[in-house]
Amino acid sequence: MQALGHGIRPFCTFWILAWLLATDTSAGAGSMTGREWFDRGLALSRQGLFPEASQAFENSADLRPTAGAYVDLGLAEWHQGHAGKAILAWKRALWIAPANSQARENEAVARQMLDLEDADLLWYEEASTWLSPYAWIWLSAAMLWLAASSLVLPVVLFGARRDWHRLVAAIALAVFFLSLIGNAGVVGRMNLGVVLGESVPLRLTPTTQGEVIANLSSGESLRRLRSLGHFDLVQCANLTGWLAPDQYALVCPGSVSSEH
Amino acid sequence: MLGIIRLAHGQTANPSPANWILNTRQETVALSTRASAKSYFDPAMASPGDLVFLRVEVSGTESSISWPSRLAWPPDWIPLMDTRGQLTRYHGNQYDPLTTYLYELKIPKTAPGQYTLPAFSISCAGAPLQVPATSLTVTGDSPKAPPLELGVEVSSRALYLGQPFRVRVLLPAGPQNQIQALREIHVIGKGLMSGQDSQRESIQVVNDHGTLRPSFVADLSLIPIQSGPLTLFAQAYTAGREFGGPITIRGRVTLSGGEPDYRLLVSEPVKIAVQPVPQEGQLPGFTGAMGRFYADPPTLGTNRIHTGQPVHLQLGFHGYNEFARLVPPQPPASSDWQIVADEPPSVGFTLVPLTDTVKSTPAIPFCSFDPETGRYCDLTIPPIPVEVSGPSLPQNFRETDVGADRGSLTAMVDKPGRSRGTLVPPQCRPSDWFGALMPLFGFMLLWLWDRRRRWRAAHPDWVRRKNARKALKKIRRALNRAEADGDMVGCLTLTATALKVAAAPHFPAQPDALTCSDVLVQWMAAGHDRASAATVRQIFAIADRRFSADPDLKNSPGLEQHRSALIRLVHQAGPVLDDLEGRL
Repeated sequence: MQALGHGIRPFCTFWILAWLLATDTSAGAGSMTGREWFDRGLALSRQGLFPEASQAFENSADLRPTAGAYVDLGLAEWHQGHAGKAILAWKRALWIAPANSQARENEAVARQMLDLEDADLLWYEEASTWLSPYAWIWLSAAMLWLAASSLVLPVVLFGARRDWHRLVAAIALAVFFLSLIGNAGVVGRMNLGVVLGESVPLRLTPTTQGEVIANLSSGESLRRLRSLGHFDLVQCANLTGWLAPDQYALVCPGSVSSEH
Repeated sequence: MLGIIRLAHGQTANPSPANWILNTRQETVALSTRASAKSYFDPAMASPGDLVFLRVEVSGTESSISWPSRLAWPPDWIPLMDTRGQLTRYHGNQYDPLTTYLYELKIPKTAPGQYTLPAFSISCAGAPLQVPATSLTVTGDSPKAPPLELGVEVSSRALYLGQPFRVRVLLPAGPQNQIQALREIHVIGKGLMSGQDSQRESIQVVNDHGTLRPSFVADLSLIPIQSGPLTLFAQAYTAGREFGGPITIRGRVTLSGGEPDYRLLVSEPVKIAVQPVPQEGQLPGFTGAMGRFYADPPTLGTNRIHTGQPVHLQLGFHGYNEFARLVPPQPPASSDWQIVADEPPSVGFTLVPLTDTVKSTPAIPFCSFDPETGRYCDLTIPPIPVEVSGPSLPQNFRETDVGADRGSLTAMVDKPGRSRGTLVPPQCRPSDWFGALMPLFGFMLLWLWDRRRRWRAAHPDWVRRKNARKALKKIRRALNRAEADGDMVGCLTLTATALKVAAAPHFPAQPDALTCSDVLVQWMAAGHDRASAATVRQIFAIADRRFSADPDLKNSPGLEQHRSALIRLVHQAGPVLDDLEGRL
């Protein structure tokens, strides 16, 4: 027993030290947490230092994406006259929390002021905005396994399934199939983006010398269709053309080749 | 941002160039005649350390002149400031543009003498033009003629951003109280905007450095649009008796006749400090109104209206002081009213009720900032009771209208809210798919458990034998312990129990329900001899004594005498038990 105690002690010490080192590394040498960046951005914005505040909010959102950080980032960018970045930030806030009224209201006001229209969504994409992407995936999983459990467990545990077991399974399956629509909408909305620069040329061909179809305003919504070389084929309102990837940003930055 | 406040030159006394502009028979502008230039020092004689002005007057428009960036000044002469101005004078029967370049110089303390600025060439309307040389005589005791000085006074030097203030440009009378008008009055400074009030001119007696002197006074208002320390100065042309309109003269002055001497004057710079309006204590509805106001009771056209019928709400505000700036309130957002603000300068709203459920007009938040007290004054327009009849308007119309009224961003969010690890949706992350499939492993375990359960239910004999083997192992361990302790009675009792456990699955029956004969039946059925059967009987006989009247075997007399026989009996029972166990 004593030998066992001698064996456990170094083992525990090793893991405690490893955990402490890991947490210290995650805290970063001199770096701040997402919440600290957020509070700093809030203080800077109250002093009217919006460029510094937007940088702080951006750091906060990078470390810890929250709807509040993106709402405040949008406001800070808006005060600097960066309409595209502001609308992008509010769209990201709505991507995380579709029920965030402040982000929705600010985006609507900005679009009204700039006379910009939002991107046309397909019906299932529109339906996917009711819940967050997380809610859709977990709703699908929960309903699928609820249906499976309702069908399997009564037989296993009680020998037979009752009518209400079948009813629950049917409802769960129905919700599961409906939630697949929302998931498809989420995947579809991953290609939505926002123009960042002013008078961004939309070209007919994917070349720098291509004919300019139209000049897009900052904050206009677009949908990426596909990529070719250093250009992306995008659809903006009724126009389809090629755009350099560094002139717009996708709402969901993690999608393929969207880190511009 | 360099703000130059240009004040329009108004109508002058007869003859008035502005009046002639209105005539159908307009005079021509002398642009085709050859431009001329002259330069002179003002004054022409000065002492070392004095301030002098160099004026270069060109008969051409300012935009047509290409002026050199630097002049060939005498050594150690550095201009303190320079400016330029333009004026259109009426000369003969046509307008003649005049542009003046003005340099202020401080004469260094050098030896007296005559200093000459050599002639230099400029370009006017594309043609070269020679500016003649001019000389300045520096003497030890030059006569001090009283110079023409342009003065500037401001109503306040500590201002708030957006607060109107008065700038007074003064030209004191000369010798024998000769007064001159000013034209082309410009106030030059960064971060300043012209106020709403027009220029007012007068001749009045002012206190000029302790001396009461009649002066030409031009009052104008400015608004600072940049915070921080600001500097402004004024410049204007002397214009003889060309006044900009009817003018009130107070005091005894002399107006000289003849051609006016158009001379560009500049004032000393004046510094003001501008600070932004405070955020603390700001009331709803602040539109930038500066000053202290009182509001008249609002007047509604009628208080009995139909749905969709416009009614006008007239507002009235009065300022307590001269330099107040009223910015009308903004129409509030309301789902029950369509509200349209009046065109300036009228202050009021046109209200259209959208439903008959409203009982009063909406309260309109409004406030102003009083620079004198540094506080906000509440001027909210209170609701007025109304009676609205008629059906409500369609809902979509109301929503559209409310959406049009909405026009302000929200405040900053204090709390970041719930965090997400990444913006990438879980639909595109394999780890989340794995998490979503975790219940599948639970279902697999459940299936294995159910399969085992069903198999055991289908094979009860196998379960009994397995349980018997398990029980026998346990009894054997107890038997070994009893034997090691020398507990002979315990050994025999456990041996009897083990025999019953080993024989029970063959019936099948509960082990406790079996007797010695039941065990022997299985024993004999296996083809064993009667000697070993006797051993079994002896074991059961001793073990069953616990059911007798004297169950305490340990205290039974003669037990110690038969110890060796008992030990032999336990050893003989070992193979019997092994055999029975082997049949399981």
